[in-house]
Amino acid sequence: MTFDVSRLVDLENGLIDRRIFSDAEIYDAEMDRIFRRTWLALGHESEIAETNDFFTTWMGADPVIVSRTAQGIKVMLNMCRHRGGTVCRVDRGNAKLFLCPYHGWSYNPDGTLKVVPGLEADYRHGIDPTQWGLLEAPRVATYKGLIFASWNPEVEPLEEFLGDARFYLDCLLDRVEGGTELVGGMRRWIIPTNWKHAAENFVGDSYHAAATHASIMRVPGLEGAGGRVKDVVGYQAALDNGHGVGMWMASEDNARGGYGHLAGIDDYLKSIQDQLVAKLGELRATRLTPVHATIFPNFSIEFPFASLHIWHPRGPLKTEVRDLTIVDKAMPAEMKDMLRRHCMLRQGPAGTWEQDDMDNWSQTTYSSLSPTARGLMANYQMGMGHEHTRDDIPGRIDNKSSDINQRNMYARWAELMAMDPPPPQVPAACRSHSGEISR
Amino acid sequence: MSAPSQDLLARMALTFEAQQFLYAEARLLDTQNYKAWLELVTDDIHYWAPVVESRERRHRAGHYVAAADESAYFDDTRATLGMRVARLGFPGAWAEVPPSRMTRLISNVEVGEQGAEDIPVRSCFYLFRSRLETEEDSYHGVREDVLRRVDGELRLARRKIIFAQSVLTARSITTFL
Ligand code: FES
Ligand SMILES: [Fe+2]
Repeated sequence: MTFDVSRLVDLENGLIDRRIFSDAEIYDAEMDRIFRRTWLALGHESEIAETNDFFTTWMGADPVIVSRTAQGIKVMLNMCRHRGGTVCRVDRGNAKLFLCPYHGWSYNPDGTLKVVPGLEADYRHGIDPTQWGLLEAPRVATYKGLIFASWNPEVEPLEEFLGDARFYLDCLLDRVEGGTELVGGMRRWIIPTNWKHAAENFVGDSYHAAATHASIMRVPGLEGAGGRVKDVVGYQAALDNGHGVGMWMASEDNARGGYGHLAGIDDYLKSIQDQLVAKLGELRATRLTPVHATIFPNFSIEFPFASLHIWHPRGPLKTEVRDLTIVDKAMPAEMKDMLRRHCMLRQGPAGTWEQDDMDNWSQTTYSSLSPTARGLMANYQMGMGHEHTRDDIPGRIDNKSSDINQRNMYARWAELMAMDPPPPQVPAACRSHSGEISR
Repeated sequence: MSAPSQDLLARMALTFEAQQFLYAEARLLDTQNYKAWLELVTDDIHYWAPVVESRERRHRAGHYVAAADESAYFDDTRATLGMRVARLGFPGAWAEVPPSRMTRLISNVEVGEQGAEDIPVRSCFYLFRSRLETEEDSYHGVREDVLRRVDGELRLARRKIIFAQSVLTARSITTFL
C-alpha cells in the first residue's frame, strides 16, 4: 500500500485529500477493505416474494445473485466456479437452476452444484461437488424488508450494524402494519462520479440544497417536494458505523400536516395516526421527519415518500445507481400511485431534483484529477465544535447545515481503510496459493 | 404501371404529415424551445418512459418494459411537463448550465391504422448530446406515439419512450425525447 490513510483524511481539522475520489489504488483498497467487510444493502424482500425468485445486483464490484430458496435468502457470486462464466445474465426472474452457457455446469437456486457435464466420462477422477458450488456470501440478513449481505463471516449482527439508524429508518419501514413494498422495476443509470460523492451528499449535505436546487424553489408544484418545510427546525444526526440522517422537527403546534402538495397524504397520515403513535411514539408520529440518510457505505434514502438509492461503484470515476421506490404495503392503490409519480418526477436521471445533484458530483469528482487541485484539501469544516447530544433523538447532533455527518462518514471510511481486508471465503480446494483473493 | 391507389396516396400524405410533425418537434427540442414544444402537446397528454429490464428469453423477446404502475424515467402529465419546462427556464437548473448541444435523429416512422381521432405513430430516435468540452451522452430507442388532430393541426396526445438501454449510460436526462 503506497497511501497513508491518516494523511488522506484529517478530520480533526475537517480536511480531506481529493485524491480519495479518483485514485485507482485507493479505489481497489476500498473494494477489499470496505465493500468486503461491512454489510451492504441489496434490495427488498418484495422483489423475491416466491421461492426461486431472484434478482441480480452488485456487492461493491462483485456481481451477485440474490435468490429466494426454501432455506431462505441466499446471495451468491454470479460467476461459474469452473472458469468464470456468468451463470445468470438477466436482471430478475424465477429459476430452477442457473446454467453456465460456457461448458454447461449448472447450479441449484441455492448455489449448490447440480450437474457437471462429463463428470465421470471426461474428468474421470471426479471432483468434489461440495467444493465447487457458487461462492456464497456468508452473511445475509433482512431488516424490516430490506435485504443486506456481507462477505465477512465475522461481521456484527445487522441490527447492531444499523444501530441507532434504526430509530430513523423505522419512520419509513415500520410506520404501519404490513410494512413496505417496492414499486415494480428499478431505474438504473451511470453517473460519472465517485461513489462517495453520492453517499456523502445523502449522509448530511443539506447545505447544498439552496444553491444546487435553486431552480426547484422557483416552480410551484415542485418546490415543496421535500416535505414539511414551514415552521420546522432541521438537524443532522451522526450515527455509529458511519451512518447519518438529516431531519426536520416540527414545532408542537405544527405537529400535523404540511404535505399539502401531495394530494391526500395528510388524510392518509391521519388515517394511520393511531398506528404511527403505537409503533413510533408521539415524537416520530407527529413531529420528527427524517429527510435524507446514508447507511454507510453505499445505501441512501430519500424520505419520507420515498426513494432508495444504492450506489454501486464502477471504478473510481463511475457510479451505477439502482433507484427503487418504496411505499407502505397497506396504502390505498391511488396513494401508492400518487407517491410513485411523485418519485418519478423528483428522482432518477430525469428527476427535477436529482439531475442537478449529479451534475455537481461529476464536477467534484473530475476536479480531483487535477494534479494541482489534488494538493489542496477539500473543506469539511462546517459546524466543527458544535456537536451535541439531545434527550429526544439518538446520535451526535448538529444543525441541518453542517458537515458533522460527512466527517463521521469519512472517520468510518478511514477506520476501515486502515484495517487489513477480511480473509477470503474460498473453499480450501480452490484457494489461490497466496491464500488471497487477488485483483 | 397503374397509378397509386387513393388509399395509398392518403397513407403517404398522412405519413408525410406525421414525419413533418416529428421533425419540427425534434427541431424545437434540439433548440430548447420548450415553450413552443409544449404547445404541440394535448392537455391530456401522457408522456411516459417506463424502465426496461433484462429477463429470460421466454419473457417477451428477452426484455421487460415496465407496466403503467411501475418505475419510469418519465411519467408526466401536461401539468408536470409544464413544471419541468418552467424549471429548465431558470438560471439555477445547473445540469443545463451551459446548455447541451443536441442532435435528434428521428427515423423509421410508421403510421398505424387511424382511429376516429387518434393516429398511432411509431418512430425510432437517436439523441446525441454534447456539453461543456467533451461531455457526451447518447440515448436511443423507440417511441410509440398517439397523434391527434386538433383544429386541423396534429398534436401529441400520448408518448411512450422505450430506451434500448436497461442501465442508462447517460448521466442525466435534462431534456425530452
Ligand atoms: S465456465 Fe462455466 S461451465 Fe465452464
Ligand atoms: Fe440534492
